[in-house]
Amino acid sequence: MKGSTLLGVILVFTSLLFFGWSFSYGGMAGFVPLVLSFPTVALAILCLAGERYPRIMSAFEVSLEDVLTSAAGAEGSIPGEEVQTGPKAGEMGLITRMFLWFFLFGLLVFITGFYISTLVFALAFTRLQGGIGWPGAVFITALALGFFYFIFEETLAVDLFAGVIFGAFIPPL
Amino acid sequence: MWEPLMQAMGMLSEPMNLLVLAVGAVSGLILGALPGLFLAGLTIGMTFTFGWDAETAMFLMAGMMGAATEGGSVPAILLNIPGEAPNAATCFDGHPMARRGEAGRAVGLAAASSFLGAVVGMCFLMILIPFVKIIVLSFGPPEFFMLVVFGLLTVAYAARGNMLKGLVSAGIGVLLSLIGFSPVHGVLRFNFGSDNYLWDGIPLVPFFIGLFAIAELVNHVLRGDTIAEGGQRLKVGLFGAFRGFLEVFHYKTTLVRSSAIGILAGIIPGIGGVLANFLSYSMAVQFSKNPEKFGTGTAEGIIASEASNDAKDGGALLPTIIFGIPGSAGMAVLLGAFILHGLQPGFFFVREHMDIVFVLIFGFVISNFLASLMAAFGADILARVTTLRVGYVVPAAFLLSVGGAYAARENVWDIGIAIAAGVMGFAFNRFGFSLVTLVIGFLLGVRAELSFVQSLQISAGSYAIFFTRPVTIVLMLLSILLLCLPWLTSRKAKASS
Amino acid sequence: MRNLLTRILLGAAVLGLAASLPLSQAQAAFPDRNITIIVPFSPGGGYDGIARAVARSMKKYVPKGVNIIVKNVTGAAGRRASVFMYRAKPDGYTIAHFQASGMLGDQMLSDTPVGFETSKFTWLARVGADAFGLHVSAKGPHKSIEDLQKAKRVTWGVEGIGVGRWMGSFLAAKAYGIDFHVVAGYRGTGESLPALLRGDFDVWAQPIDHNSVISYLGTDLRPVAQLDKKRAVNAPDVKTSYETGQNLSFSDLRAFGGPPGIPADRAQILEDLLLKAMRDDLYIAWKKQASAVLVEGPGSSVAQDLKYYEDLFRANLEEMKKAAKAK
Repeated sequence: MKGSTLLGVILVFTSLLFFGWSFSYGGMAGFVPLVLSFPTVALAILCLAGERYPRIMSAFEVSLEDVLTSAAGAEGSIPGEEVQTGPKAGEMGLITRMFLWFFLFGLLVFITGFYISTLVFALAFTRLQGGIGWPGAVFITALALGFFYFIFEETLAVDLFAGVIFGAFIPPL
Repeated sequence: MWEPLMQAMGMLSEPMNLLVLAVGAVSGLILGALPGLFLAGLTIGMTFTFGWDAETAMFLMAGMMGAATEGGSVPAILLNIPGEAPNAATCFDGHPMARRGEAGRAVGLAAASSFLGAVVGMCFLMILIPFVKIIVLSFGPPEFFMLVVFGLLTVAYAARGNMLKGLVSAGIGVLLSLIGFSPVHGVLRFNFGSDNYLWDGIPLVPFFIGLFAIAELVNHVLRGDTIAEGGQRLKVGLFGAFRGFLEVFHYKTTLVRSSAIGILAGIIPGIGGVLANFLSYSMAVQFSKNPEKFGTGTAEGIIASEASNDAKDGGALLPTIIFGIPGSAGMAVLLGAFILHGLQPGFFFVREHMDIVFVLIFGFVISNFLASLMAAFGADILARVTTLRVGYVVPAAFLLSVGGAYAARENVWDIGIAIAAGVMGFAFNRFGFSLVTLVIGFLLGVRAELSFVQSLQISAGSYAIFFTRPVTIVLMLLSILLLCLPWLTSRKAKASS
Repeated sequence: MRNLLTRILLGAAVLGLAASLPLSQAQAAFPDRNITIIVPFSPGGGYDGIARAVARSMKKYVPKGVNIIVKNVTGAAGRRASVFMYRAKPDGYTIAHFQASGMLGDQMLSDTPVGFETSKFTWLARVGADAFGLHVSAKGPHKSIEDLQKAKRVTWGVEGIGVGRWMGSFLAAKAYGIDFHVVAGYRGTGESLPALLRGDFDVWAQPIDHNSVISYLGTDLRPVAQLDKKRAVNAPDVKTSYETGQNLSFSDLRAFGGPPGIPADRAQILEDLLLKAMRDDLYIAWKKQASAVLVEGPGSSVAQDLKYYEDLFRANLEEMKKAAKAK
């Protein structure tokens, strides 16, 4: 499945979830979300359909902007935000790897707290992903650790999370 | 009016006060540049003022608050990480311009528009003080609802590229804003099994840090070796910054319009700087002669963003002083400083402490000036950050973002939200779903619901309340006009061709 | 998973305790390190201001090198701080400035477990209790409590269903026989006051002796009742509910408390420290400047006051739950 199709499916599912969920709240508490989620569901389905039938999508390429631009007499087409549908070779792997790095860091913070995870992440990332030599890696790591300690904890009195294994308070979900 | 003005001038001439103001500006600049840390820093700053004169304390507060958004523009331009939430729109054009090798120009533009925006904002404040009671008392829930509807309509305009996708992301933003405990209904909604964490909804700071900062770091890695395109070393000197500084005067209309939007959004409690920022940006797109250039590093985009977020302080000070209603989180801390120093917000404040009002006005303007100078003329040093290798910048920026996402509430789950929002922001951006409309929907959605339900509670369920009050009627007409605008302009275009 | 986490947590706590035991015996002096005061509400609010003022005076009475740090743990209308404190280490180094009556109401009104039990906290000192009054707008249609009693539809402005002001409003409406409809969603005093003046709603329950309203009394605001045994200092001609026969007291009970199970000797030291701080000249001068009418009291008075609220809420619990769900 193409990435854009997958995102389309997720968006339809999300808005449908809100739509269905709205029925469980009585009175205005359910009515307002119902009214708001209905058009979102419809638009998201249309969007997904546009994946299959590009004609639907192109009908909406005419944004209000175009109208105003043509009024202002500008020429040429209007490039929107960069839209890429297919990944370049090897890109997908890099994207996955990056988010995996981030996710693992989050997990590590949860388990071991900010200091250990920063030490591990900064060293590992700069060495393995960033291709930085040892001196640079140590520098970045020391910088990050120093920053967390001196600016966050000492100056701003932020209690950095200490990690589950050190008995840190886990806020209830 | 004149006596307190002279008093404030006198205080300003005291070396101690000037020093405090400068210290405030420097720390505000630095804190503003670090994502998610400004409020924590401002609160600490407030606690330093125990036992000081009220005036000196206000110089520190104004100094810090005035410089923060200026500081926030620097990482927005150089790293695509907004230092403060109201700097988010600066990323859209500031960063592309920096990547083009014009980082100095971008910083100079931001500095000049910040300063001028602040000046315009403070001038408006002085003019509006006599009328403020009328303004605030005429804005009840029905008026507020109409105003928010007006704001949501601008979403359609903010949708760049494909309008359908823009509207879908706005809708998703609105739906996400409904998550959490609704005080007006007394119900916890859409909580996904969470009875505590999602009580206050999706936390704004980590959500935004994820959408804008973390998502962008992945793009940095995809793009290549250094932050600047092609890895070339940027050559920006004082000249580039200076040119940017002066270039602002070519865009007087954008500057004034954005300042006006900032002031208005600032006055209305709760709308705050973030929305002012996005509204101003999307308006600039609409009124520009070259809307297609937005997002590619145009000067107008930077000016629209930076002028509005500094002008908003002028607006936001009004309800803070007169009603004790903070227009933003920063203003809430300022309010705390008032109370700390025995200054009671209210109509009496203006009557009895007009000198403090002037101290704040002078403080904001001078702090903005100092911060602009420091940012613009330090641009050469700052711009070098963009030539750093991605391998250094990405881990450092990621750790800073995560730290900021955590520090705002000291809740470890916020890190999870930031990373999840990073995935979401990346996917949305990549497949052409606008993040701007997502954010506008997110900020306005729950507010629209709140004022809608409040209005009906006031009117005992009658919808007539929306059609019988003068301000709502005016706002409704404005909304209709906004809807007809494309049709009207296309007719005009046809007539002229 | 949860069980496992709890076990790991417990294990770590036991280890930590074991490690610190010989130390704490050796150092008899408490406090010997920084004390943190948790504030459940955001910086700049009333609770924050008081906590900072107390911290400033308290610093005079603690050994050199010990600091008093004020920290805001906000979220879920104060519930987050309550849960945080309930599970914090009861070593006396973390205390909080609570809205005790609101916490109790939240706990009793909630259908799901809130994660704390108000009565089990170690209550250290009372900061004060701002008795609520009922206010109408001076320009509004209602001029007196009788006008409100006669009116068919009366709207009350509150932050949200189930919060402290809502409970006070509900109980007052019931006691005085006034119609009860809410207009909800105002964020704090700052938004509610102009909303009342604007005419968004008819009645507003708010302490009369409160710095946010004092300057509006007599010009924009008209207090019509005082929910206390004593008349308000700033509106001496407004009758109390005990004079007119409703016999309802309702206030924001502001109190310092710690996690359940602080050792008695440490609790006593903290109580003395807090009371000394609240009788200090600096704090009294601050109170005067901020026009705050606050009467401090020992920890035992908090427990007493909480008992009153527990009885009051229990007697009205079913009705309150029904009203909260009526929408």
